[in-house]
Amino acid sequence: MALKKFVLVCSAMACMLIHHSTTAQDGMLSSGEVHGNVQVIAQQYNEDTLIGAQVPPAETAMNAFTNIIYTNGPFSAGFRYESYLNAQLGYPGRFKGTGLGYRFVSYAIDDLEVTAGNFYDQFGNGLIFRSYEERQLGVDNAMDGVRIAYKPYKGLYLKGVYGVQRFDFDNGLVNGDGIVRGFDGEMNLNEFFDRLDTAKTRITIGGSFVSKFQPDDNADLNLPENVGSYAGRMNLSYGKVSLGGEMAYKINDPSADNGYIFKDGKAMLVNTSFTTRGFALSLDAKYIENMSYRSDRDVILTDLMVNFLPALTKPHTYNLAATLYPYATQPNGEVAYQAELAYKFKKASKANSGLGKFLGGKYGTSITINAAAAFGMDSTTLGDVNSDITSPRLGYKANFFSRGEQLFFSDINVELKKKISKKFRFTYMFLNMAYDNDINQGAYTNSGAAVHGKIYADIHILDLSYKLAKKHNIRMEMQHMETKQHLQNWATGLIEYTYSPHWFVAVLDQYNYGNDIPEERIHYVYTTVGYIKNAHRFTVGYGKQRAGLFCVGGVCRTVPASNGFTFSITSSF
Amino acid sequence: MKRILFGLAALTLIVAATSCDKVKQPNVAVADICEVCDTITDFPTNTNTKRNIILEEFTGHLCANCPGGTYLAQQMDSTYGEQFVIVAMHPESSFTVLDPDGDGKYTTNWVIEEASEILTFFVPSPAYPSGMISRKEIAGNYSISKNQWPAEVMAIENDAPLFNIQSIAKFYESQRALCVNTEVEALTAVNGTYKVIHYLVEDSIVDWQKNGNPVLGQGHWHYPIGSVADYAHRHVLRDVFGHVGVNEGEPLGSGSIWGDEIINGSAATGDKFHLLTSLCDVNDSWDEHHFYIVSFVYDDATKEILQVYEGHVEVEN
Repeated sequence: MALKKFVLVCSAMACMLIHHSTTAQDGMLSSGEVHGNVQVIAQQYNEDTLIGAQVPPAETAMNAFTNIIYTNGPFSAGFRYESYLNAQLGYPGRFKGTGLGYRFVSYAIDDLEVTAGNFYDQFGNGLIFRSYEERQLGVDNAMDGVRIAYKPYKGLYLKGVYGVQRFDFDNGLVNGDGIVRGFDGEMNLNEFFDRLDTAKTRITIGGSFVSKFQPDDNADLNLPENVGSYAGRMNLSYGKVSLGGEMAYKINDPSADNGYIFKDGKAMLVNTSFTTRGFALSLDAKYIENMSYRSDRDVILTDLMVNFLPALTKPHTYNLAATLYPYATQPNGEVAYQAELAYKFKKASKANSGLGKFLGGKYGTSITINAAAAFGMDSTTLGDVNSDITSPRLGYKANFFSRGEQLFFSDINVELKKKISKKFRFTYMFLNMAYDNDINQGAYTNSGAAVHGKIYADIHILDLSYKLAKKHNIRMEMQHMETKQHLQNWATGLIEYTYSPHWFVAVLDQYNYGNDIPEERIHYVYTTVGYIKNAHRFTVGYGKQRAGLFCVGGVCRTVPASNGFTFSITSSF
Repeated sequence: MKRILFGLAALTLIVAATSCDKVKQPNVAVADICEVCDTITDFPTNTNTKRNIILEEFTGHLCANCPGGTYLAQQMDSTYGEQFVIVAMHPESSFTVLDPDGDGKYTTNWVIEEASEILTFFVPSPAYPSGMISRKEIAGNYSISKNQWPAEVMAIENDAPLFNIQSIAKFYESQRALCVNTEVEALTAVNGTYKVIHYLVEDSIVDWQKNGNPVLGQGHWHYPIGSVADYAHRHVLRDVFGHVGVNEGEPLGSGSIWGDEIINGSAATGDKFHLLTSLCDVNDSWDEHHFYIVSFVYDDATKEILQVYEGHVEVEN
């Protein structure tokens, strides 16, 4: 049905375009271009009782995504064909079948851009609206409706969105019931006012309003059917210094996330930075109070999120740091801070000696120090909302931007990158993490029991890269993590050999050597072989992957343990 | 450009104003009314010019000193007439124990949950006999001893009333349904949150009561000292009812001590508010011929009762 509708819309648009082109711009269609990309991930599962890996009834799974986009001057149209046959374990299990998951038509002319169908967009930092896809997480809250962007005057940018959100996939796109509508205005003062055009101070201000509608189907509560939110932001830069901030407010929005309390929500995000040659300092702060915002108040996890609350923590890529204790933003409330200092030691001169000579060396040295912490709010509970039927169900009151005593997460890390010679470079990293598993809920025993309380971990990482010969490079990672509150110590080793530009092979072993239970001192070995040619990439992987929480940008999903082959292809044209 | 910005600002205001539902009463207020009840909006002109005063007296059938308070309250009632309204509350306490000596006396349970809730909320350290004078906070206390009642009534008897309130109450005997139509009129401009609630009161129920020494101000002069079998319990609170606060499946009209919000914000002089409230399946052991209702409007911020009305309950088949 969705496909038929799409074809009809495309046909109509094409007819209009053909008519227009034949009367005014002959040959327009003939100049059109088609681009696209494909991603296929197929996985085969083996049972592995040691790590809890299970085999689905179909024994294999495949996720596939094909984007086709046609552009012709101001007009573009496209679709994404998706297949979940069946969905990989860890993806939303209800995704099934094959069909259209995204489709749109769009034209842009005279500073006006109109999109009908699916689209992604974001207002400001996303505190009240962000529609996006994070395929690795199975997150896709694409809007389905109309988007209009208009620039009525230089420096003034207006956007309006109106639609429903993607919720599910059942042989095609399935949208949620809630309606999301909003608009955003942004003014670049330097563009808007001629006399500020060349000013050193650059200022952008913006404001947005978003409202969602969902019928009240609750017999016990008078639920708000229209929940509005608004935000204001400003970005200011002067030379090497920049300051940005956004504040957001949301009216009562009882939901499964907040226990159906009727408290208003607040959020604030502040970013500052100073950057100069070889030195950068950034300071960020964030306050979130009851800011879960979904177009369906009854869903949880990563479904139908209207807004996006970024995590103020450093995103890690090294295995132990990234997969054991990743932080998830707490939409019900948190106060977070982050500071990062990066400095590059210049190449050593003849006058340098000792440590200065080592750090400078022939190529200089980069050092980055990052510290991030997230706390609970300083809040007071306002009685039991369920026992008092006359209660306004406000739940709690919180002191704005005042942190509570509970530390949710902290990460202090130092990264040192040094190139020793033309052939050899290394990175050393140390991390100290504190992770409250009662909040983050990413740490489990191998039998599936949640760990309670704080987990403290120290991680050392050494990444060595050596160029054996022209086109031949070998890279080794040695990682070690020490913790006493969860599965004890871990070590990870990685060897990756690259034969440029086509081939690479890697073996990774994540080893829980310190586990108190000898039988659970498991090696999670995973081997990958890849071939790259032009815009095509093929990889085959085999081995064990541990269960855990997989996060991107503070949004997480639980991935189950698996054992088997994984085959993936990505290609674009 | 100015027109564009003005248009945007106007659009923003329109959309913002129409796309936000601010909920002040999250829980579903059961607005189901007993089928027999009809809405009445045609009330007679309210000619009351006084601020009426309510005494909510806390008592219990084992409280020997309480009849002394009741006696005083009745004297005040005869002094102030319609301006003075009495309600006797029997919250759960050591004075409401049933059949304490196992001799078949004091077996009637006068306690209602709402009375206990009111006592808990307003009186952290109850001492009987005590009572609240229009729930006015006096030196940090809502409930005061009986000796203070006359002075505190005198202190507010000449206050200009902020509201007038009147109710038309009908009891349908065959269906055991009580229907109360209420009109509240702002006599001056007000700003705040104001609520209305109703009491169903049964008067003159003869049953056991301990009576103290009237010479010492403890007992009632009309009764002997000690256990009295034929004591006429006056102004007994039977139920508290309004729309708000009714759980599904529970008897309609019961369950809340806070009532219905009639104003949240400002109201002008002469503004009138009408409510239909009902109580279905009224306990058939209660004598409807002894019923009267008490309706009052109070300031939600201070809880002070600003106007109160005592009305006859018309009984129909």
